[in-house]
Amino acid sequence: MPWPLLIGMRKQFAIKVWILLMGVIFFHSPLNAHVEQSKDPSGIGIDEKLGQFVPLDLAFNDETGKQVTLQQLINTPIILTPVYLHCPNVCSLLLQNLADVLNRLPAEPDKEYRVISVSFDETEKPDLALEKKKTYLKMIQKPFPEDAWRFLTGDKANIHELTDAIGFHFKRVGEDFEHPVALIILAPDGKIIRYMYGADPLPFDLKVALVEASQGRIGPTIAKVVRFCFSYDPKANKLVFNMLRVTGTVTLFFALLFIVFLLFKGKKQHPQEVKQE
Amino acid sequence: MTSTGAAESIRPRISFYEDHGRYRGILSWILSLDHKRIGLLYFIFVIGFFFSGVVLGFFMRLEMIAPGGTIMKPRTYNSLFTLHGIIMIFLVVIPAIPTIFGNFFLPIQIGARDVAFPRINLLSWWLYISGATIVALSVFTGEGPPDTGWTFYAPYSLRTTVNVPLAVSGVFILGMSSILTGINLVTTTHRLRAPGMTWKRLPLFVWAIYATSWVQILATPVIGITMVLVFLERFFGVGVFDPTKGGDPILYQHMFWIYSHPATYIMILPAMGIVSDVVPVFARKKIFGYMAIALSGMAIAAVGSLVWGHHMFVSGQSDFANLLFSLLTFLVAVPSAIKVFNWVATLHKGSIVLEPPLLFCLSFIFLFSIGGLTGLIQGALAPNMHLHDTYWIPAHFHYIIFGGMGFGLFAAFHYWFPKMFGRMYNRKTAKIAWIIMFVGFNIFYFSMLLLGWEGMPRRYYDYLPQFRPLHLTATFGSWILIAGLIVMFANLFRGLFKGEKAEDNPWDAATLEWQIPSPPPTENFEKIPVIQHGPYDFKEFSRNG
Repeated sequence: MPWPLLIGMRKQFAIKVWILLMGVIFFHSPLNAHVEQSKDPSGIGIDEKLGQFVPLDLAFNDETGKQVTLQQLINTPIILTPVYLHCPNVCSLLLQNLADVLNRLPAEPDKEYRVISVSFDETEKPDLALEKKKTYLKMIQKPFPEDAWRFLTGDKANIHELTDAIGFHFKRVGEDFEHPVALIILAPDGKIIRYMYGADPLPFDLKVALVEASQGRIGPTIAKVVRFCFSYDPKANKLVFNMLRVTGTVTLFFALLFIVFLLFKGKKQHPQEVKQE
Repeated sequence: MTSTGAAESIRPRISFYEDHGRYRGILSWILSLDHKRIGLLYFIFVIGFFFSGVVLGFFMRLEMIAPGGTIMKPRTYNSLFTLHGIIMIFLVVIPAIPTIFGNFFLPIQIGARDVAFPRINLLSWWLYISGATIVALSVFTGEGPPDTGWTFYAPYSLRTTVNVPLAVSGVFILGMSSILTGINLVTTTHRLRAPGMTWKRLPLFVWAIYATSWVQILATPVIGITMVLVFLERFFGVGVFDPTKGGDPILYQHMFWIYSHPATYIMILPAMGIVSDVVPVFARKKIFGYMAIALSGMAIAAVGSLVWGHHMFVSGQSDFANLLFSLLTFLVAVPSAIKVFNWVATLHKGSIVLEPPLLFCLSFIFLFSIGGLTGLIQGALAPNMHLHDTYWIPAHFHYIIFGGMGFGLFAAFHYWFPKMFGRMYNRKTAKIAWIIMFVGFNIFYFSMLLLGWEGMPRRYYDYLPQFRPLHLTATFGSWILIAGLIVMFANLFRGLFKGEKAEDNPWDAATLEWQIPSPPPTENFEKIPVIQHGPYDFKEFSRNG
């Protein structure tokens, strides 16, 4: 897949012809399906809405099929995870890791925080949600109140209203989705406090985010680079390596020249010494 | 003629302060080709930058006195630790000893009248000032000071809207200055040694500067190239480090550390040289294991250039690379330990005189040992997973850089002060300042070690309530440390103007700089001395004789 950013880059390429040469190799940069970034022209990514509020009147179905509004669920700090439940890799990885972190998190579930996993696949139904809920609650090895982790499904309009509010942009590709991977921390009043990128949240970061959420303080986004689930192809970057090789060789050549100069030139005779002798 | 006889044969002559050369006033300094004047120029600016770094550090610690925002916004905190790092690393600890004391004393210690390339020496200083000015400009212009941390890690440094390009250009120019100083001092050591000054008779300070200079010459170009690539990527969108453009952020980390790890040896090796020179003088004993110390310095320079990957154990580099870098890290501890054992062996059964320079050197040995041993802990793969990016890491390198290099630098201040300025500071006050700093330092940084061990992440603006007691202790320690610094510099400053006149050789040292007047004349030596004994041969300098 040709990297779309190149289209934007071409303008500058025109100005700097020599850089064009370098640019050629980047046409072949391989990309993983789960690459996320905020300015991907295809629209996948996260466009942070820190400090804004999620619409609390949105209604979803809970695992039992009962309709609930976000208002009813959000009254503690919230860990919101937009996923799709039959996701074959990163979503389940995220939820597994989250279950593991919750196991170790020094905070009381249902009182100090709650987890809400919202499926952004409108075709998924509460029975699948219930099945997933059982699976993940089982992974938490300590007693965990059922209400502290909710799995919601809903219709397309509501899903999009929520994902737009949190700036979470995804795209359907057949059965599956291309989408970013992140936890979003909300304050008890629905304010967006922090984005935690990647499928591997750290208990410490999560704890700090929840403390901030309980106080309604907005936290800066950290560890943004984690969201790049990128794979790197050294062959595609041959030119960069060649550049390094050339500069390295030139440096070493001059260093060698310098050593030769020092060895062959020897000690300098002082004019005075020469006179004395 | 012997080097010892030189002192008697030198008639009183005007010092380099009175001989202002072709220019008058300030021009006689900033256009001077005299290595001593250039050394003092660096001296003034390095101390100035040191204090701005200290002030930044002071405010960082003050912010961390309590959880949550205390006196500043998170972004300000990010800028503070970045600027503290850039200023302290690139403007203070890397250049300090080679440019101040290397410039001033290396030529004298080998019996030369100046460095090999006096004009390039002046150019180095101008490049240093230009680079420093550009770094300073980055603070006040654009969308704010850099907030990347001193490491400028990509891809964040490629995207942040603040003034990274200017800071990066400053670092590039400082690198050129560093390379030129290295070339100058290596050439001086090779070509300008006095007759009889064989490699085995070089003072160990010269050996240390020599090893350091090679690292400066060979490693600094890498950071230069890295900074150019960051620059290209920011302005022209070339994808070298940014994964969204097909670049590799790990490549950035490799290139950055290929320079910056050896750079820590650029910082510490010269300080080791100072300790090796000072310890025998105040133990009144020949140094134990001269060649071992000299060659271990070269070994540190060589092996230390191959350990950069230990900064990257959690970056995703291969397991094989991790193992190899961990092994090399353990190996580089060996020559460091050789030095420590040799210094201690030199003190053993010596006639120890506890003057201020020796006190600073003793604390160097103690603090450097803590720094070195904590380095081994984090150099092992398993503990590194736990300690990575916690307070442990900054605590460790402050033990090395401040406890080691800093205290070494202060030892040099107190050791060479009478030679450089012809006056003596109050020795009692110097000892008081030393004990205050030593106590404050340990309260400060040992608390940070403990914080790191308990999991406090570095560079965080906020922390959990459980860390509060140790943060409070660390901040308290920083105040003691700063109080000690103020006493020390006030004492030196007072000595500069009101101190009693210093003798030519107040410490009864045997190296060449003590055989000429204090302060030295412009040409250093009336006649180039012929060297007939080693640098630590104190027989002719006994207290009674």
